[in-house]
Amino acid sequence: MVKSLAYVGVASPALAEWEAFGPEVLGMEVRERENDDVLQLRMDDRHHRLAIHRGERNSLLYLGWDAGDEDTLGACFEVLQRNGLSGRWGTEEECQERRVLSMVVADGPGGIRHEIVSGQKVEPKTFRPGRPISGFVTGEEGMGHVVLAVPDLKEAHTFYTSGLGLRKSDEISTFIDLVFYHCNPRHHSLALTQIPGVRGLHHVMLEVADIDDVGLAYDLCMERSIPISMTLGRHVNDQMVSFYVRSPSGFDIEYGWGAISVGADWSVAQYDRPSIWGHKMIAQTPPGAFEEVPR
Amino acid sequence: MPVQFLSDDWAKALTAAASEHAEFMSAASGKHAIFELSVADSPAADVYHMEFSGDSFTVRAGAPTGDSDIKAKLDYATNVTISRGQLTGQAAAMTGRMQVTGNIEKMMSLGKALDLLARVEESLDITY
Repeated sequence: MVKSLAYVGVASPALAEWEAFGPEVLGMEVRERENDDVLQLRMDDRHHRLAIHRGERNSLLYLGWDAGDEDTLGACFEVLQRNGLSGRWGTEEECQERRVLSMVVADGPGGIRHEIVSGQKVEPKTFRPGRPISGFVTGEEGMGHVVLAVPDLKEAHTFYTSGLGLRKSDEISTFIDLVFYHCNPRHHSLALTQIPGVRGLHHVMLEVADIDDVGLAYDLCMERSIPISMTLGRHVNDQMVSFYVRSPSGFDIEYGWGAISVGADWSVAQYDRPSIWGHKMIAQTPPGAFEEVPR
Repeated sequence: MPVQFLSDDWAKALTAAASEHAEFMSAASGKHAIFELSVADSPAADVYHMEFSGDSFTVRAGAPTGDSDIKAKLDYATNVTISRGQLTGQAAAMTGRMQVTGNIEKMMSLGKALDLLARVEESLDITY
């Protein structure tokens, strides 16, 4: 089934802010704009990993999942059909826009659009970070992870496990409940929390290769008065050392280093706290690019 | 006897009902926070506050005497929707229908209790 998180697309009015925030703070590379309404950001030699589409308000538009090859993509389509989940083949125009060879489009829980793809365009030896960093941890682990709000956790669990083939990593229950899922050695490519009547993106995690990259980004946020949502800390489950910064599009970016990997012998665990230390929530406004789900 | 939403009588009735609601009090137990809500177009109070004091919970019309931890702005129609259980406070805050500033961690830690308030209000005869 799906092998990694390939890309994320959001709508936002803040393209100009991303042109500075993406490269200068996060170290991503801004692709040369092909039109004024889309800003594409790179993290490695893939064509792009994050796309900001011009929109009136902040919202999650789609998530792209790499199926690995056409046979697996076809199998994904069949599994979606067999499980009674909606799915269709993407058009040539849709594939061209995302720079993939083929695509299956599926509406997930709450109406979140998922694009399962094969053949994402790669441009070897072309990635140039926006500022000096050691590099992003991508490869077989994909671009990072996303944390989503969904209206119904049980329905979502069925879609992501039976439909996309993700496997549960663990759960954290505090004042909110979070369930984590993996599809490769990255501890989680997806986490879900239930907010009745709401769907959307809480944060995107980007992992860097050196803890100093995290510290330098933290310094840059402080110097530029970019709102930190959560202070430096280490999570209990993936053990990532990270901080959270509010992106120009409302959702947070978790910028981290040092997460553990999951293997074949992985056992699901439960935790009653999100972090071993740190991650103090200092945001003054709620995070996220969320929208109401019609009842 | 019906009480007018956002009136003093409503605040007293909600305080009493919440204090007798075991599930709500369990969710609120040990929490300390003051929420101040400003309601545009309200036919009654345009400001009210909710105070979680560890083992007690109080709603009063008007601003709190001390500093509030969280300030929220919403319109009357949205507040009615929340009161009727058609929209949770969390959902209103997350989607921007209610603009919230302040100690977000405290707000989120009380999310389950706040969401139960609509169920508490089901037991009241409220005029909107």
